Amino acid sequence: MSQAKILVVDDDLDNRLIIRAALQVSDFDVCEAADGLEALDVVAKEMPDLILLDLSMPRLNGWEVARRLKGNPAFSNIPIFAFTAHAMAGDEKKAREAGCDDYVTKPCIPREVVAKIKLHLQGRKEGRHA
Amino acid sequence: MDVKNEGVVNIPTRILVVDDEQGMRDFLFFDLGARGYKVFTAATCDEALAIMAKEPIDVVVSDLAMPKLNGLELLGAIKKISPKIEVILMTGYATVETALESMKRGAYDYITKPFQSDDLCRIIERALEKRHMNREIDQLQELNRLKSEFLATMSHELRTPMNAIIGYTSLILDHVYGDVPLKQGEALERVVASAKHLLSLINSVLDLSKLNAGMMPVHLSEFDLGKLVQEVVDTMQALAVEKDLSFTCSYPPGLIVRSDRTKVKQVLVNLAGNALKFTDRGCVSAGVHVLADGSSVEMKISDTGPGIDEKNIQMIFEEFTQLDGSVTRKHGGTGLGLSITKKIVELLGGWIHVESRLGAGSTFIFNLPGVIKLVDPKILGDLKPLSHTAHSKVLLAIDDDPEAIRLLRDSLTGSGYELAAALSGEEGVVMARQIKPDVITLDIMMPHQDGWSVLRLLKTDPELRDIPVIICSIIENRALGFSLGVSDYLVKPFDRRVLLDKLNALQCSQGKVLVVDDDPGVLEIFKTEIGLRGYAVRVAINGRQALELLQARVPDVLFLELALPDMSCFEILNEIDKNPESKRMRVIVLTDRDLSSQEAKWLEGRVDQVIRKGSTTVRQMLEAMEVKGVVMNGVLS
Repeated sequence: MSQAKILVVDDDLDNRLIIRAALQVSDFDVCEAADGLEALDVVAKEMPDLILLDLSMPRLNGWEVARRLKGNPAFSNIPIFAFTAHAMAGDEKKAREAGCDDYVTKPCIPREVVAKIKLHLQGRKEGRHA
Repeated sequence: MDVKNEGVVNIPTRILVVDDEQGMRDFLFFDLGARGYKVFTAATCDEALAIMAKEPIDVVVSDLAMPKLNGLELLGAIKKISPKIEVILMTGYATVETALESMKRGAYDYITKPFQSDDLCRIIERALEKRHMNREIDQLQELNRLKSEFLATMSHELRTPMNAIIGYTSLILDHVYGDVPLKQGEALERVVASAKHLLSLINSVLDLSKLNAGMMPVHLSEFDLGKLVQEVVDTMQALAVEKDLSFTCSYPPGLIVRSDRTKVKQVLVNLAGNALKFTDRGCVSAGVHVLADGSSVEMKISDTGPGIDEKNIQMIFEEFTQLDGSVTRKHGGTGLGLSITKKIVELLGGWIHVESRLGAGSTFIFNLPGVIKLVDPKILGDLKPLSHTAHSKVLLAIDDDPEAIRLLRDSLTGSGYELAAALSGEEGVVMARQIKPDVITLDIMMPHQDGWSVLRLLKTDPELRDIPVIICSIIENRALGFSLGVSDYLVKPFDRRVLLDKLNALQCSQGKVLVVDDDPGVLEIFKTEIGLRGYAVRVAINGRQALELLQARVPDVLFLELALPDMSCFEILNEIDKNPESKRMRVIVLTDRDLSSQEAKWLEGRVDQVIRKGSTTVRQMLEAMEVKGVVMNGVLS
């Protein structure tokens, strides 16, 4: 089975490195983007299977990235996980309204994020076959 | 934001006068100028807008109808450019309509020419006051927005570096970067534990800041408090098992409160968590009971832990004051839990205190307002309709005044009635459906939903409409009450014996009357008049409805309109004859025309009486019948 490709979008280098390491240990392909505009480029080029998307970023923020991707039929199928330190009441709702399919708060245990991603991709695969 | 706190006082108020009459412009220029305003004048709309583009005008005083300028159009233009400028319109022939129209479009006020300049000045001053107030509101809103933005930013900024700390450490511990020697692994475990502790501190500090800033939102809903307590005990049972403690709870069933469920749960979890944390032997218990005033609940979390020294008791709700530093190291925690707990309880309108002695365990007691259902557990049983199981009858009192309910409870002592109470109409209806009381007493003046609307709900619900309702109110409106179907009416204050008499009268089968007529007016009259005389009245607007009601319960007397839209009187009577129970029922036919001989023959012997409507008032008719003993106490000879 070909490995799923995950795009990690975060302007914080540490966050990208941590998640990349955790994903690669679980045999995922990983690509990265450091801001929203770069994320849109990488999505078009790499067609990832899932996007882990930081929300507060320079140039183009994550809410806008989610909105644009979900508004474009070519990419609207790609699941997006908001990956954010915005953890106050109402933040999850805002992220979901922008089009995010799930919501992961920082700080996180990398292993747990990877488990969540696996579970989601598994569910989608089974959903498609059903 | 441009905030000019001091400028507001010192800079003179700038007023723009717009009028096509030179005389008026000059008059106001000098008059208002002499009063200390800085006045600008304009003769046309364009001129006015040009001045406003250059000068920060506070108030515009404009003519309403001018040959080259429509005041309403100018008003529209001003409100578009600067909605906060107040506009006062002057008019020579103000009609109410134009005035209203201008106010609707945002004018502050209008004044009719000719006017005293004192009057105009009063309006100007009021307009300025409003402007000033609006500015203050804007500033407060801005301040509030900044505060919540600050908290959100702080939350985000503090959590971001925590991610790197926890993230990298977890990766190392998961051997992502290769093997980890045992000692280093142990050290890193402590790093992760400390980082998580720091994170919970950050969360607590943010919670506390939000509470202190009055920015913690409260989401009210109605929920079963006992179930919530049980839920908390169930989820935390594992902690108790781990320490070999017993963890139990007790609560009255069916206790519904209106509060913020998540926050009440947070309080319970905090207190229970503390109790379990500090107790090494024995038990922890959570208890709920309704206070005597019936409007609030008291919750207790007791433990057999070390207890608290008397001199420290006051301190424990303060921020960052875990009593003994070594305790923190042994038990963890932020030292903010109780402080947050206290603030949440207060936010929900309650209070909290602790009873404890060194070596004798601790009991944390907090209360919460918002009980909307108060049922004596004896009465509620296991939620079965009680009238069928218990010997005593149940009276449901709907009254927002707990004092009145207590009085009723006392009044019913020895009466054979037990009391269930609801403190709002809404809850009353819900409870009535649940417990099916034998009788309901209903207050009229209640907040949110008054007694009349509750009565309508009760009397339109097929399951409830046969439950007799007694109004207990300081308002006397018997006619309205009986027209809405009440069985009796008591004006507060009332004597206990009067209440018991009324209940007694209800019990020894009062005459039950069914009135069937397609004219709602006739039904109203019957309901009022018959009700006033103490009979239980039900009405039906057509034959189908009448048969349904007859199926449910056979009345003592049936008033039946001869010509109904859906069924003839004869069809209905044929149906009635099929039910043997209806033999003892008296039937009185109402009609507004003469009967044909065939009809008269058919009805003869089958009905007790035929009455021509309009030939006599309903009251006279009833009186006559009472004399004849037709409608007497339900037992008809």
